[in-house]
Amino acid sequence: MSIVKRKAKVDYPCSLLLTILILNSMIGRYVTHPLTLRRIACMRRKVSFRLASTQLSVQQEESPKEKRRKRFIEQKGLPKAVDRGQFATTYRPFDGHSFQALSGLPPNLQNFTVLGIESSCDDTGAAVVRSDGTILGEALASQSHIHAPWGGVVPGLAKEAHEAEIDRIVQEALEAAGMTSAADVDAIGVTVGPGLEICLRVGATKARALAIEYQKPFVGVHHLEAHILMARLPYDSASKQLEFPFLALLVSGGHCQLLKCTGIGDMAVLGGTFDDSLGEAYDKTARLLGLPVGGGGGPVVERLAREGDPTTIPLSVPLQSRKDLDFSYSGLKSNVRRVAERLAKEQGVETPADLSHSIKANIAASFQHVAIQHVEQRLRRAMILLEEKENIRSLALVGGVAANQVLRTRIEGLCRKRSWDLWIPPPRLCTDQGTMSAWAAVERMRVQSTDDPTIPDVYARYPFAQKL
Amino acid sequence: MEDVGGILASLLLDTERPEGAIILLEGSLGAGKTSFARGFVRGATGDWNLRVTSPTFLLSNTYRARKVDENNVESDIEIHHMDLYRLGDHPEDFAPLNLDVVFRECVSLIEWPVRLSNVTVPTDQQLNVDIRHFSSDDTDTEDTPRRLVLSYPDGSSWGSILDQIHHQGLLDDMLMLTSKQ
Repeated sequence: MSIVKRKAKVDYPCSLLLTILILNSMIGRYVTHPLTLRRIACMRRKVSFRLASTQLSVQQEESPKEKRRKRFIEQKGLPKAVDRGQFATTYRPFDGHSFQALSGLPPNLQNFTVLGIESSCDDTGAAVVRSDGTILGEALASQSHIHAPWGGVVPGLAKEAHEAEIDRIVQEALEAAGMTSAADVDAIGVTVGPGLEICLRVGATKARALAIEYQKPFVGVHHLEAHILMARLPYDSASKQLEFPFLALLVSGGHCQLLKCTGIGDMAVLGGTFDDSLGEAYDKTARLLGLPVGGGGGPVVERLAREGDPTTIPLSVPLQSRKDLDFSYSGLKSNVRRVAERLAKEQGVETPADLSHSIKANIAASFQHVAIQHVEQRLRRAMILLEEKENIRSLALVGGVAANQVLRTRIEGLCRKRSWDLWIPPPRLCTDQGTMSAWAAVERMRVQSTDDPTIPDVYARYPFAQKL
Repeated sequence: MEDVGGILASLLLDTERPEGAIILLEGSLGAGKTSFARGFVRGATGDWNLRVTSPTFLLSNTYRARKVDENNVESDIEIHHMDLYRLGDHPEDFAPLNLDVVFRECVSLIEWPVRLSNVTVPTDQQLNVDIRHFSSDDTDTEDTPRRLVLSYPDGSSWGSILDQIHHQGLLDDMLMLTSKQ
């Protein structure tokens, strides 16, 4: 089986463009004529287009048709495209260098309770958490005891689009905490982005209404920050807390990123996936092999992999030649599919799902080994960078895939070798749920930051603001 | 596949009413559906470094592009890139995607449209893009050339878009079949 090496090579015409670009940008300072400026902008986009197109691509001669297509895009698409910020709103809870408590703060900042709501995607969750990290009560729609024949792959999904569900989940969480209504908590937090707009609205509308009705301080939580901050949840009063600044590796079905975390509201993405996330790669492997994906594809592949030999099937580690912090799993996904289909043919069965248990176990093990190697390579590079430049030696491993034992063990090893501290929330706190919103709200209030509940916005896209 | 997406986006945003366009992307795992979508979104926004990742777990990713009409008035247009791979047949699974509104007012790119069997999808501006591996010896690698089978309704704006593409010979090497529904 041939293993294709991937190179991102900047070809000759491109480097010429780069030179022109650099010269132009130097001249640009002194040139103000609109037509020249527009030409410079066009040149920048052209180079940007060429560079982006050579990303991840195999070194191959372009066919005349391929060249014609690229020329068409450059000539037609680029000049017309207006270079507006993609993002109308970034997450920026501070103004300049200071936080603002737009809806006030709990009376006792040493000891307060928060009702947190999370409904950004698949599921709806609510939880009551105390500021010392104690979880007083929780509820999750997908695990609700009320039996309903929802069917479908994502049972929580159907439920949480109904507004009646949010009332029930919030009530369940409050009652589990020994409370009767939101009047009994000191503050309310809810995920306001990123996520699916219509889902975010269900949770946010409820939370805002409660905050206004009961006059409670309100926090609009950032979903990814909430995942990361779970690594700072104190699990008991004796344990040390993870302190800023630290490196975070967020790996789940929907996310695959390395972030430098300098403070609340101050997180920078160092690298992320170009295509598929790690959790997704696991899930797709599970489906390819016909494994039951009810509890998530990841855990079932992990279990099967324990019975397999990771050295049996050669798979190339993604992005080996790229010296940066980005990820890519779509190539590995395709690779696994091809190998599985070839094996199926060799074994005389119809699909990879029909392969023997031991062959499937070998595929699962080999896939997992390479998927984690990719993480190790990117992580190690990030660690070296941050050790040298910022003297950071703490890593937070968060998101649903943090529950994977093999990943944890390998990252523990990497941290030991480099004398880094590693912080991983307990597996059940790595998935989407109310506790993450509640704790993130606690953290925001600790730095005296709250939001205005009368502003009804939710943000499907909600990138972190660049620190100025 | 990225360039194909970029070209279609470019031409679609030129039409009088790009909103309501629904592109259904079909193809096996790794065929290039997300690559197509990436090129499309980058072409529509003009941002060639924009991260366009797979929406398999997030279900839908939203992007904002600008279009300019014939009176030079600019407005925002939303592109929803969805992946229905994880959803079941239960119609309630689709509620969070707000499809009625999205289909009408935004541009939709949908991977795994086979899951839409119980959902009403407006057909008047639909484009079906079926991405296939094309190899003489049954191999199927990253480098195997791709072929496209496109179909769209008679009289829709896709017709004139594809006419322009034919006229400029942009997809001659990839188009296996174009048909009108």
